[in-house]
Amino acid sequence: MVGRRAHGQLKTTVLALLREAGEPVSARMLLERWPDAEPKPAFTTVITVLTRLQQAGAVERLDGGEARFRVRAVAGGVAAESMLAALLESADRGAALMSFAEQLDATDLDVLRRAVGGSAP
Amino acid sequence: MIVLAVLLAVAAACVLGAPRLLRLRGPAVRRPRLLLVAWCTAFLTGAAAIAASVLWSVMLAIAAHAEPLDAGWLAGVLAWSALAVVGAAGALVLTRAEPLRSGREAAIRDLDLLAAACTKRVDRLGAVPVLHIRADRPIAFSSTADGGRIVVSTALADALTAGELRAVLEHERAHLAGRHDVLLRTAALNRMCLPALFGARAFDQAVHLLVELAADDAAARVCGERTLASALRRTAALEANEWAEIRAARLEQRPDASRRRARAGGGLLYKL
Repeated sequence: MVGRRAHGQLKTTVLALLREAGEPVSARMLLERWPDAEPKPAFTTVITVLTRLQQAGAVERLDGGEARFRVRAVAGGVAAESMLAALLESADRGAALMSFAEQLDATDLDVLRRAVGGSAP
Repeated sequence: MIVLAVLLAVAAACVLGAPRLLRLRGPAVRRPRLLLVAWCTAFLTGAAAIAASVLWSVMLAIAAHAEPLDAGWLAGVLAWSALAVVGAAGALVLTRAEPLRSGREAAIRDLDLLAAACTKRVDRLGAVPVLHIRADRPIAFSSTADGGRIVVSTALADALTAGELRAVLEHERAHLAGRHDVLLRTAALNRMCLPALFGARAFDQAVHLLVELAADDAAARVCGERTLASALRRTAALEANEWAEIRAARLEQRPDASRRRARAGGGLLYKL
């Protein structure tokens, strides 16, 4: 659990640094810019995180003398909506997300209306 | 043999009783968290009783010098049947769980993509990262993958006051802290393995709704009923959502949190 949490925070930090950079950066450059507030990971750990993000399609790798990475560009708001739709669809299959205001179907609503109505003081 | 009979009776009582415990009636709506805890206890006790009775029957079978049709022989038959049933059930669960597992993996990947492409900024609520993503759909959700993350779209965050947004985030944090995803996945898996016959659909529905109500209660304890109710109303105004309206009405029906605290004592049980 500790390991997974650490990995999740690494992912978040790596993505934030890549976005801030605005240009392709290498793993070494990421480590140089690592925020002081967070424990600095090993070089190989950063490479692992970058590789996983690349496999997920979130990051692209540019080959050269030293491999550099950048966040994959997405065009405008439409892309955000379609990515969100894809996420909600797969999350629905995998019971993977917990939404604040989920949309329910009519039978669920019926059950609820009765249950909540019946609880009135 | 008597021990075995008792264990089986406990198992049957828990397996048959647990879903009935979770009917959506008034008490469930008033005390969602208590009901969820009671259900988990029944579920775990039932599972433990089943495991113990299989073990016990195997031990009986091993200990006995079997003559045909005596108690030892019967225990042997029971032990082998029990192991066969456990094996079959295990295989069924593993097969049916596959779409759930692949869906979860896809969701984790999709969330990474979204986070990479659309994050505007990252805050923290306690130890939990809160990702603000640029999107026009008013939405907030959390995922336990990678140690827990909360995601909120700019469309929702911009429409809420600071207090209301905090209430939304506390609702999500309660989901993460309570490991509600485990309950939801257990209920979903249960529905996939046991079709309507055992009330598996109703059970899934009840877990789904009670988990939301329990998270509402946790958020209301931190931010107050009024604030959370107005966050729900405002969310429903952005994108029609009757469920949010019903939840808001439930919170508005309650006496104010401060008055309830003044009555004292009653909070103890609630912290279970």
